[in-house]
Amino acid sequence: MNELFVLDSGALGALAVDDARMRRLLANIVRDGGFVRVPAVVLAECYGDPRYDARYDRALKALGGTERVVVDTTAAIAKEAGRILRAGAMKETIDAIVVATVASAPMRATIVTGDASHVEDLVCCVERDLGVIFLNDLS
Amino acid sequence: MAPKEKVSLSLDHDLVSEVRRRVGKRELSSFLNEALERRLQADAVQNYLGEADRRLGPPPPAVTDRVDNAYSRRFDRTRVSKLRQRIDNAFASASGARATVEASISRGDGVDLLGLRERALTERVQLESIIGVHPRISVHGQTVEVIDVDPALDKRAAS
Repeated sequence: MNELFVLDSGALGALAVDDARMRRLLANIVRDGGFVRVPAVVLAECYGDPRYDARYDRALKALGGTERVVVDTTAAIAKEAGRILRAGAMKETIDAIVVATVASAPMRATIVTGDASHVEDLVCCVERDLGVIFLNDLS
Repeated sequence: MAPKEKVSLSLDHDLVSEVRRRVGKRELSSFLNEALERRLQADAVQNYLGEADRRLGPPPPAVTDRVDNAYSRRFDRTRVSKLRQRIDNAFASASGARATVEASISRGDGVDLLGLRERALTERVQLESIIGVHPRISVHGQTVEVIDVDPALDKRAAS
């Protein structure tokens, strides 16, 4: 399988606390040959509190390390995020960048999120079909 | 961009030929780079999962069932959401849509979009079952077009 899985802050946060849902999901992804990426902008939502920073470091290490797993926001992704925001009449810029990162992938792509409401609305503004896994639905 | 290093490798001829056929001669390096990245990530994830299982125990069966189900159906919900939004938008923004659809239904060549819309708003599961034979619904301004209609769909939507 050649499929990208992009984590948002909720998903990375779940991995940071060894959430069983994320562990099972990662097992499925690796079993099927998928790979995981985290948009750099997600780190802005996660980092900053010294009490928790080390957890996020461990989560990124579990995915192969920051340099391997974190993807930059290119101009093309940023432009697509702007288009998605406008199409959805929404203001969640970081969520839109995460969705645009998934939408810009040249292969099958899925977003793993803890924020059902915003992401679902944003994904509807993308022409191609994207996979979505809502962690909150799995509690 | 990470610094590059030239290396000399011995690879199976068949493999290299296959990759070159797929991605072209110039893309061989990026293909191998990507493959190595994914392998390293897979190894890191496997190490983490093994360590976490030893420390915490494996995920409980109830969790694995729910996750496996969501994983296998990860593309369904988006399609349902998009169809729901599309149908809803058609009726919210196009004053002529209802008449167009009703005329289409009366001709016997359209799907019950009114019924689909109702279910889209109230019954996600039911709509998902309809998606399995989902016709192409195209919305252009004030017009709703239904393409490749499956006759069975009208019966299911009306039932």
